[in-house]
Amino acid sequence: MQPLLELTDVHYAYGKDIPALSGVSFPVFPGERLAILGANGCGKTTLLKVLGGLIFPQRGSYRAFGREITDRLLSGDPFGMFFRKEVGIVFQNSDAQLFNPTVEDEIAFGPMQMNEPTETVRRGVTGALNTFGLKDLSARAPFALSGGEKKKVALASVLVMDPQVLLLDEPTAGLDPRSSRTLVDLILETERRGKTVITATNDLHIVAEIATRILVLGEDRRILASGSAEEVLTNRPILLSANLVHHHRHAHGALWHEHEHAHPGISPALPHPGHSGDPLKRST
Amino acid sequence: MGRNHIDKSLRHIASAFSDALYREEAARRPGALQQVDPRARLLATLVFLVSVSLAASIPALLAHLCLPLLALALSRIRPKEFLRAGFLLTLIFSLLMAAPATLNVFVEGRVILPLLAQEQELRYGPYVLPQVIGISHEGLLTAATFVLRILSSVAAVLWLTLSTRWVDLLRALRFLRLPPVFLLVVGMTVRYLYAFLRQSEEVHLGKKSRSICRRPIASEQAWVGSRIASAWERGLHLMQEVSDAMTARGFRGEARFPPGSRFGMLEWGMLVTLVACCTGAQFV
Repeated sequence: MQPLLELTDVHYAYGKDIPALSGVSFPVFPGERLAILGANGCGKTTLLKVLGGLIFPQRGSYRAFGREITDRLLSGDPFGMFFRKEVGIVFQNSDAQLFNPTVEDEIAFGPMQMNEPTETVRRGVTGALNTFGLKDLSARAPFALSGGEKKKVALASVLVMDPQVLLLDEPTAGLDPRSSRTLVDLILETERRGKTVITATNDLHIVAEIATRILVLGEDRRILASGSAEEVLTNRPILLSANLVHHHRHAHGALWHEHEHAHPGISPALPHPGHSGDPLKRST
Repeated sequence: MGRNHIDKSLRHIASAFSDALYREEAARRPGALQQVDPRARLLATLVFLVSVSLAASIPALLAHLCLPLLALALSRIRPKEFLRAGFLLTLIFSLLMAAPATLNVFVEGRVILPLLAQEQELRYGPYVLPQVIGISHEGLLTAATFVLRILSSVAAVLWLTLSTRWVDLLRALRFLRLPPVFLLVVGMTVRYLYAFLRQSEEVHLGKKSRSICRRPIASEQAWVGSRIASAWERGLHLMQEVSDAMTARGFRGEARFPPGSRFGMLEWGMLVTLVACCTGAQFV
């Protein structure tokens, strides 16, 4: 199968001495659910921006839909508009993404820029408002919404264009558990519709659900590991090396102990010092 | 003094912006005119302002002043809200500005209330100081015309802003065929200016919570300067993020918005009534 998107030895740096990507290569196939895991500052957002055609490799190449993506190619039509329609990106900072006066305008913004007929835009907006449960908020200003609602609006404003590829940057960051759950359900629904979904995150709780393949970006801004969700999430040395799991201390009454942080349901439960290991420290 | 001044200024500016952006209570009241499309309200205000500028007699201006007051009553806007929104300040300042015009020193005419009598008329180059200085009939008419024109115009604009949410007002401006990019920038400026004010307030409170002794004014001023630079840097970063978000959704420098729905009976009824009232007021 031909890859839909393909990065080959991509390098990108901010200024001269702040590297963000140092030789990243991987293909993305149609309908794939890919998660990019990595600690803060390892280049996940930069990688999504490259995939979204917002910045361009300084070295190496990026191919999408069979064409090498360059600034010049995306500035011209019809491929530029085709690419923007087919690759949707939801940013981590919803406040930057929501710049229209009302939720309704926000959702209509993308299709309007694509020169869609007004009636089609109206139908799309109504559909998106209903699907995402935003009908009652349609006349509200997006910046006045809660974090979870903002994320929903951001996702709706991208999905209304029905893109083939959806790029999500830290979709659950800063959300409470219920909003996070709702958002994951919406992402799963998108995946069921056959979309290619690439999620950059360091939230291990959602990865197994939203991805079938995982790429781990190391702190050296290179790909540290790649594999199925099960392979990667059970490889604790890789997760530790990528700064995705950590040791923590806590107390059960007077008993203090320290062990690796585990994610129940994702990675195998570790022996709990309270049951099978030795406590590292006892309180006095 | 310096520290209190910074504290109060930040708090007051942020609170004024917050009030302006979130004050939706009056706009959401079930008043008769709140049911009218904001575009019709905007158009009505413009028609009214043109009519006020054409009215030349005091009775015509008084009749005009009654219209926004009636609109305020129909919109269930309380007199206190109206006065506090700026009408009281306008009244005071317009009276202060118009007061000198009542004197026959500035506007020649028949003195109806002498204030000062001299032995003879004095000449200072092209300027003449009459023998009897006082309030003239013509001066009073000029001042009254000036004050009534300002009060009528301000009352109409205040009615519009109090009875309409700013997001609706912004959308209504599209009706005037202003360049969409200009409207987009205006909306974003208001919205992000508020975001920066909130941020500045938070930074200031963060510093205050960790300050245990009073520092010299020069040091405080240096700190404010450094925060302004930091806010500028953040602003540039946010601008890049917003620009990326717009590009990702197909924006190419020429924003397009969905057209609004057509005016119904209510909107046309209001506009026809207003035009009839303004025409009538001209002949009072």
